[in-house]
Amino acid sequence: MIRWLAGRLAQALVTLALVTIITFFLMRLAPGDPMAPVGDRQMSEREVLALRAIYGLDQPLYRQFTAYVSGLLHGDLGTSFSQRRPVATVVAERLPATLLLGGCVLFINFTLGVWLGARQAVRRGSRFDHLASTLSLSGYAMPSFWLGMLLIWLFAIHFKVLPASGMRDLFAAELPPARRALDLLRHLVLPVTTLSLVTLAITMRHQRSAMLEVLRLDYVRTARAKGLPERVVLRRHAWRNAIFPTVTLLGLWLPVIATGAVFVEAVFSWPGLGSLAQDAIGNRDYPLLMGTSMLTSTAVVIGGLLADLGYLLLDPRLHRR
Amino acid sequence: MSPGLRALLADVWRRPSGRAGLLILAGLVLTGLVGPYLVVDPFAMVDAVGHRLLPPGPGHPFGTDNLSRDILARVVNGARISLSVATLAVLLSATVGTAVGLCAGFFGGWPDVLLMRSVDAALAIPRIFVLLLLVALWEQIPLPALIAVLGFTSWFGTSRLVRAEALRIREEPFVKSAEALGASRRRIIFRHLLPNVLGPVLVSATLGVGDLILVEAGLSYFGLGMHPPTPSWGAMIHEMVASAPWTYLFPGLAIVTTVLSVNLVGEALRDAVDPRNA
Repeated sequence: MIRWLAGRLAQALVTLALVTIITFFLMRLAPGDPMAPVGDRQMSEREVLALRAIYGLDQPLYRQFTAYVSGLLHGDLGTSFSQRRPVATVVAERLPATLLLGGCVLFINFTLGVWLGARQAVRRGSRFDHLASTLSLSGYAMPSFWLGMLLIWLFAIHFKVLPASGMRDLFAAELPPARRALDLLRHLVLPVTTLSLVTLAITMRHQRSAMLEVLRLDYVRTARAKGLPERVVLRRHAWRNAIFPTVTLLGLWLPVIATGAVFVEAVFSWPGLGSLAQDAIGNRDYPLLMGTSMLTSTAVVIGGLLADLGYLLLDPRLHRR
Repeated sequence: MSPGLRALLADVWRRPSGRAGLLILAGLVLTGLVGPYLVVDPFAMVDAVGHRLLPPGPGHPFGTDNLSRDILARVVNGARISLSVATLAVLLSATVGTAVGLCAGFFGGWPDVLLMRSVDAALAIPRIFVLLLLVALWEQIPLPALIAVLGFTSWFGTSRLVRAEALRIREEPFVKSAEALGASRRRIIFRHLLPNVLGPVLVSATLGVGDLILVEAGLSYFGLGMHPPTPSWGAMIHEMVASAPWTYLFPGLAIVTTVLSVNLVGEALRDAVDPRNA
């Protein structure tokens, strides 16, 4: 098992190294001087050259790459062109908002989605199964930004019951803590609903097929045969094993949420990483974009690693490998 | 049509959701093919006085947009664009993914390690970042370039799938006996491996069409995909007017209908190829 663990760790490191290489050269592929927006503001040639020197853009590409990697290893993600601040600081400011949004969506998926998927498997072929499949597939077919716009129109413009955008009210800072929490909650409802509705199908389908897989197994039949109530068979025998494969979804989930966040944050002006990345592209702010992208990819690789590890801990049969 | 494919399609047709998907999809393809000749010219009424932002009603079933263009006409013209862009991009990605997966699975060894670790890395980088960056290379991206960018960024999953299948099939007795009979590598790859991985490739390609319609809509929503005045569904949502919900309701419904029907067919195909989880 130690050997397996070491191998898996090495594999994750190789993946991360490749991610770094791909991301770096993808960013440098972009034509046009990254200093162009600065140049627009009527700068002399000498000033532009000086700026290029400050950001290391006058160095050859391989030098820039080694500098970037050595910076990464020291926890330095570079300096944002547009904000003139360390990328790490800018990203750290935006991270909590995305984590809050993504965390709520994950929570809904791993409670409601898992429950619905398992119910579907138990009542396979029933009207409930078909209805749940159709509804979740319809959600999956919706562009998240479009669903967000419709929800804004319905609940913020037409009924005026929920705020349309942002994370806090303008005067939230002056409110007592309980009211402030309520304010945050009200702002969370629409973005979380949007992202949950478009992603729920993934969890439900996965949980449904995992549960179906388990319900076919001999020990479930044995449990039924020895006269256990169906409720106990499902909860104690089937579901416990069907939840394992869903754990591995964690690695799959992070990119889904990162992508979803880019659109949902854009629609709801949610001050997270997604809207930061969008701004970074608009400004051709490559260090900032690279920082956001690297952070997300690293999270994906680590998520995959943790999922495998969790799988190993949960399933004793794999210990012997 | 090969007998295998015909049996597969018949299987899809027998499933209610598969049949519904096929019927809706056929309707959409028909709309894309002949619809543009049946509706008014989407550019006919540009800035006609008194026709801006009309709500749905007689004359304009889906209403008009802020440039007085008929939204129904634009949605119908959009069907042609969205479907053909997604289909062409998927053809590209399925081809690349199958080729890479077959190579990795057949040759094994270091090509396999190299290819699959690169695919892992590519899958770890959220696709939207890569796309936003690549599309931003152009001031206004030409259609062929958009198709190429979409195609070349969506084959990673397919290649993994094909590799796993190829690895499995390689060990099957019929491949072993073909090898023993002295069949060339080319013959084994094209006669034995390729036909046997086509089922899963077809499933992932079908689901990929739905996926790419959403991705293209997303890029256009950011103003980076198809550019005005092209009536792409995503671009129409990008040009929407918040106070006139019909300007974005109908293009969005068109996207949902298309993606849903493609995914229903894809799911039915998946069940037909691998019936265990139906």
